Amino acid sequence: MGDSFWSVVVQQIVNGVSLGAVYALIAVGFALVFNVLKFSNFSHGGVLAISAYVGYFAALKLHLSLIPVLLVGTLAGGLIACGVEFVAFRSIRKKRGQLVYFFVTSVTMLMLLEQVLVIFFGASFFTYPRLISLTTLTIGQVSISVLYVLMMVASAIAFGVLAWALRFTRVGIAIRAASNDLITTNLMGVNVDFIVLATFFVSGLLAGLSGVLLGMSYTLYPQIGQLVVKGFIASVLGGLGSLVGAALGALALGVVEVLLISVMGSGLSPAVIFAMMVIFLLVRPQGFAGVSFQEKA
Amino acid sequence: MSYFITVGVFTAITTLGVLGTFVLTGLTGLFSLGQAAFMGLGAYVAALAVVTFHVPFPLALVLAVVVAVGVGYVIGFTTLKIRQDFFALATFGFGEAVRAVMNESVKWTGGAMGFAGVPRLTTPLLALVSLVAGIWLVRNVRGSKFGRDCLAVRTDELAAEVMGINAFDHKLKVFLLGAGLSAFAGALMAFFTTYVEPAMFGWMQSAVWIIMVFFGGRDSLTGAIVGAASLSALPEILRFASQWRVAIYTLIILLIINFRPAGLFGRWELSFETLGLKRSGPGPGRRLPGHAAEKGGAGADE
Amino acid sequence: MRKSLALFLILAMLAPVAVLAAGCSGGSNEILIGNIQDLSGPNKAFGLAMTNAAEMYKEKLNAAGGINGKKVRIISYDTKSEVQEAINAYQRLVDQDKVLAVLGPPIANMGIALAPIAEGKKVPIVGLFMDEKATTNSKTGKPYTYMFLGQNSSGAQARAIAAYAINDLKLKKFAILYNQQNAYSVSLAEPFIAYVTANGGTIVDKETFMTADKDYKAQLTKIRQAKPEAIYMPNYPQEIPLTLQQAYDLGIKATILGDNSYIPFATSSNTDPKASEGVYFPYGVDPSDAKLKQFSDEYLAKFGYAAIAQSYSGWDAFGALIEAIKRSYAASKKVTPDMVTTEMNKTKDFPGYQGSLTISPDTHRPVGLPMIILQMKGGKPTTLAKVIPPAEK
Repeated sequence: MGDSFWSVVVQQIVNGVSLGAVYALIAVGFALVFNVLKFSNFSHGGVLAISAYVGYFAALKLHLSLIPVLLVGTLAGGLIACGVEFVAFRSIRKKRGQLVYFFVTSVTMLMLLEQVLVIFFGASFFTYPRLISLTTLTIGQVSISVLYVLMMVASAIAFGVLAWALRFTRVGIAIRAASNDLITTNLMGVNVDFIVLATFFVSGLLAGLSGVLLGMSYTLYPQIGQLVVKGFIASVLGGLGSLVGAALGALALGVVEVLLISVMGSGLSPAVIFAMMVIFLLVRPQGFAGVSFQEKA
Repeated sequence: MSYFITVGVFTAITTLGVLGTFVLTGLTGLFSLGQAAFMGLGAYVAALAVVTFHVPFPLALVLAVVVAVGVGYVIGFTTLKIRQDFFALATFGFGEAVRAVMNESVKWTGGAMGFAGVPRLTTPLLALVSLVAGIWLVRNVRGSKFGRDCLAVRTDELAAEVMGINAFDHKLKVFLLGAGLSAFAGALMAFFTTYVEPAMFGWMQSAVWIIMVFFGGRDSLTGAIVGAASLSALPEILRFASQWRVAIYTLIILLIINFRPAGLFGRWELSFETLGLKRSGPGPGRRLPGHAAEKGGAGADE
Repeated sequence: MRKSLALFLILAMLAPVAVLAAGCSGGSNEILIGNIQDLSGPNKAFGLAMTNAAEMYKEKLNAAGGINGKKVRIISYDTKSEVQEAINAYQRLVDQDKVLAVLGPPIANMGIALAPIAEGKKVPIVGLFMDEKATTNSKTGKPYTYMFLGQNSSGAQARAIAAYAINDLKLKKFAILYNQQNAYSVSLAEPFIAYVTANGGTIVDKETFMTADKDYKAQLTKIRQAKPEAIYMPNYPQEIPLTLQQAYDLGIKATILGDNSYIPFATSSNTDPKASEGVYFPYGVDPSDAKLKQFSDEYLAKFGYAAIAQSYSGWDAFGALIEAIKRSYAASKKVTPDMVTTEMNKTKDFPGYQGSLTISPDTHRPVGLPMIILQMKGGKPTTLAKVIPPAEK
């Protein structure tokens, strides 16, 4: 019953895609804020981490089942992200601060949110209650866990809703307009404060969803938000202008990571990933999606 | 050695490392998430040179800088051509790659267990002299024509190129200067803590340095030094507050950036002029356009 | 306005220095013991476990009159899990606070970093830094004078489970999966491999991962392909449920061997019993021991969360240190850090929760301290055997 070479390859690709699906959820939320405000929002990771804990307590104390927990965590993410926008970014935006200030603030927010979790919950270890039983789908010699299937389904639904909302709702259209040109959008009579808040809310929803899903499939610890760097890498590789690119970048990153580990071990794979990344950015600076946007008018 | 001197030396070394971030971010507007990796590179190269290869200490310090600048040249040459956000990502990748190599080459570096047993050769005097020399160097570079050209590139790269400034060349030189400063600080640190491990040089460390620079103001050398020195000493001072200290630290930074985005010091520099011998403080007209519209003072906002 | 704000902020930050400098030195009828722990970083759970245990011990001791009429006071400093902070804290404890001895962290790299510094400062550190490099100077092979370990070293723990797997479970083909960036994992993995290969077993696959990784299926898929009889997974608490679950997901049937961090995560009701079923791991104390029950109840009532391994071994380490101070007083009516160091070497049969603790003057580590081998059954650990870790060879 030995594993044949091809079944191992297929298994590794399945592993990579399921990892990439996790990254994709983070990357798209990350890319959404980048789209509108043009900065890399690391506080996304902090929102993700807090939502993961909110979902955990909803499951533990309120004994909610899977779907309500996902909804609570998702909503919490949206609200927290609004709070973050209000506290950390609004006044910089009002003052037309440079992009670097946004960046610095977002990293600081990530540290702060993480620290809040350490202060209140760092003393104990947490794992989510078992909302779904541990089961595995096995096809031939390839197995995939139901949890990962759930993750992919949830990501797919979230992306579907997002795509629909961006295309067909008034707020969505305004967000897309704002991502082209925030100032002109303002001149056209759109309330920019509201649009930015809405962008953060939607991005926070994605952070919340990914937080709960990550919390369920991984363990809960305050630094879980640092996974945001995977979203950062994926969205840059994808081309920072594009949500589809971010999702593709994430899938590619997942598969490449898994294949590298299986070929050469985890030790030096960050070095190889770095080299590949630089070569890729030199060869194709616009990223996967090919959307190139101008840095300065 | 008394405890306060120890903290002082740590602060001096950190400040020297942060100067690397300051020149890069202050002069070119780029920010590197791999700056701490240069510090790590310097620390490991110097420690290996002395402990394993019995190179004399002063030569090891030079070697640390040379290796870091060499590696920096390769990294800078390839990554400075790409856009600013990509540069942040590329330096992030570089930092993680350096850490991966440190972890992997267990035979040389001790891997995750760290590199212990480095002799304590960094004296308080050496740390202080290095810091002063570093400050002097950075001050002169900023004041030179080269430094002003860099600021032109930072403000408007296209316009600067039109004026005949080679933007790429300037960025690369500044990048190498930053790498050298941070690596030198790393070498000093290795010989002060007597122990180095890869975990000390992660991307969060680089991000903290950027925060320190913005805390004081990236257009003020005085501000960057005060920012680095006070923020690296702050956790030590707040030790009594234990788990709250990082939260307090981040809150202070958030307040500063929200209410004084140009940093505590704006463009103010400590000098004979500003000490009151001659009055020519920071007039509004001297600010860069990006800093406009701040009303000064906490609480003045909305 | 702006300058005054700047000035104000700087003054506000410096003010606490004056406060600290003013009121720190210990009174002469107090015995000061330092405590260096992570109280706000990623390993806060371990740091609190040791701090709490030491505080509990101290309260009992002081209530019973202290040592020679002197009360014991513990000065705790936070490390945030950063080595540099631990070095600062140690120096501050020695130079500013003038402590008699220090209770050290349960973190390997901090022990390694502090060992040469303690040689210079000459104030002993008793801790749970399992890595043998923290107590043995790897250049001379001799023990560091001022470093003492209060539980079995990582080498002893790894050999205990390896010996059990080879001798009792009759397993021969092993794979190993561990965090290469974590000194704790590395310090367990290396002696395990050495023992297995020296005792007739083989390592068919060795896979590593990084701290930032949360998905180990790539590595586990390779392990599955190598068909080991058992997989040793010496990892940190956060990683344990993940490795177990992902191994289960991939349908791996090999026996899984763990480390002393498997409680409480592998045993938590939130970890699926299907994933942890049959896992063997070594532990410092026997959970079925009635003596533990009283301690853990008291601990839970006092702090609101459960005791973990480091609470028990932290108690033992602190207790051994207090006994050394007492012996020193009994012998010469006074006590200095060097006397405590000398007495620590004579620690013999201290009745701890891990067993009777005797510290060897040749290694500064416990000798003959048993490890308990536990197996997960239906989500609960059951005690299988008590083994004395085999010596290195």
